[in-house]
Amino acid sequence: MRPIKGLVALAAVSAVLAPTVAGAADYYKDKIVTAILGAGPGGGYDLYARTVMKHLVKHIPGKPQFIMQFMPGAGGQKAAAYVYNVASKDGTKLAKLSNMLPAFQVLRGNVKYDVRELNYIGRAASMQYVTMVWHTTGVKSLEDAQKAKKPIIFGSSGKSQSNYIVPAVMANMLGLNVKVIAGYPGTAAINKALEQGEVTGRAGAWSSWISRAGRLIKEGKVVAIAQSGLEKATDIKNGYGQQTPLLLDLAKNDDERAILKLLAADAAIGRNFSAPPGTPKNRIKELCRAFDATMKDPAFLAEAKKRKLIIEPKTCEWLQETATAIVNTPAPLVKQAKALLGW
Amino acid sequence: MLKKLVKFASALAVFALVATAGTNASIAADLELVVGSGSTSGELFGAGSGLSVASVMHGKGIKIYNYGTKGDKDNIKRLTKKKRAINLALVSAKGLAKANDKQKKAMSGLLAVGKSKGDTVLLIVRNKGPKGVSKADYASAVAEVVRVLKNPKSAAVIKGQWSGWSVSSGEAAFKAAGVKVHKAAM
Repeated sequence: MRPIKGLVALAAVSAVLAPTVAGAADYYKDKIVTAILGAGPGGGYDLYARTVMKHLVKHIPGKPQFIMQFMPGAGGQKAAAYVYNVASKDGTKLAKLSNMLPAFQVLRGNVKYDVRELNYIGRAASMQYVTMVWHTTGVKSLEDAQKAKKPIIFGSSGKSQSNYIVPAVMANMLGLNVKVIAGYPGTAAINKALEQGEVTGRAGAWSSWISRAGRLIKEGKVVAIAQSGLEKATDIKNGYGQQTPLLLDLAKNDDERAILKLLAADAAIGRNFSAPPGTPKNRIKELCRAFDATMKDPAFLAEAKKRKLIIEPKTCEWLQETATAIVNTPAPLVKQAKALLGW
Repeated sequence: MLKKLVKFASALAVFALVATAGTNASIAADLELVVGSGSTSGELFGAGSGLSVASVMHGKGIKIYNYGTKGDKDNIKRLTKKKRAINLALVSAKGLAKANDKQKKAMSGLLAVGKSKGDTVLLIVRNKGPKGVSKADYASAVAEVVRVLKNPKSAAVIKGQWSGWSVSSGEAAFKAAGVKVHKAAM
């Protein structure tokens, strides 16, 4: 008789709890979640977003469907402005926006968003930037680069991109003999320029090196000499098989460290997902936890591995805190950082 | 009583498992297509968004994603380029007429979908399917796009985003532009 009594009690508790659980599930049931991308289809943004979204919706109560919406333009500013000012705030709009937004907000100013009010959902991977040099330069480490008489010529897509910022820091703060040629349309074009001997270096996201130029690494055509981010990745070795240094660790004083932290923060923000400001807090909480569950989902991890995607997750709370800290960098340091970049 | 309850709970669990597996299988099978629409502040971007939503609500095995582009010329270029091409595009009849012969050979006309700024808006499709997708699967997907867009329920969804939506064959417009009409649209 006792077990039956227990079951009846359980049923009663379930009946009481049911409306709450169903409430959460009901909201997304039969809904379509739109993932807005600040880039076009086919690149790293798209690959990460589609892979994450495909599995994320399984972890959102009510299991909604999803579609992607590509909004490239102005280095991701267009999509950010749309998400911040126009997109509906009901939890059906998510975004994979540029990792540069917090740094842009503080360094450029006059932007149409405030990342402190965006609702971050989580980060799938960092965008640790790795400086690679072409093998014929004879440079195998940062020390070699510091002694090099011939300048290392970096290819860059523009002054606001990390492939410009990293070599600019190396030249103006660490005193490396570096030149930057800006104006390449993208990563693929710079890689081609490397192979053709037009340039001899490129700073790019480690995940992008692995997925799009893995062959150059495998064949020893490019050598890693330094990495840029807030945390050191241990698996990135230089031409002597030693761990590459983190530029942040080379700061000579607290001010330099703060500036380097600001300039490297985009690497930490990485492959991030967010929702528009004003989205109900309880829905954001659900989305954050669904994101966390996705990052541990064996099916997601297997697919990411198959697609050669690096997964280094961080929670929405960590991301929100990091983005806010970047935006709150003291004004005198921001001024110094701008001067360093020639902005 | 207890036995009956356990039996019922087991049946419920099996049903839940089967239902979930079914959902996942259908998600995995969806062929993802990208439609180049237009400027994100223009009306055709709204049409692209509506098309995207309609593909999920009323389509089977396909999903259309909206891509905010720079308009006609950009759409035609992206639809006909070798790498990372889009699959569908919304273009004006005047814009389509300006495509070169090589570009026209790489695309087919699907439907006329309405009017914008006094010109007919046409939906065109890339002849070559996405990498790794068989010709037969791509042809089925294109046929499904046509079916979805002719569905009155889809029209209601798309009109919510772009009031100019009105589907017709567009045969004369495609002929005038020198673009073949896709088999699925005939």
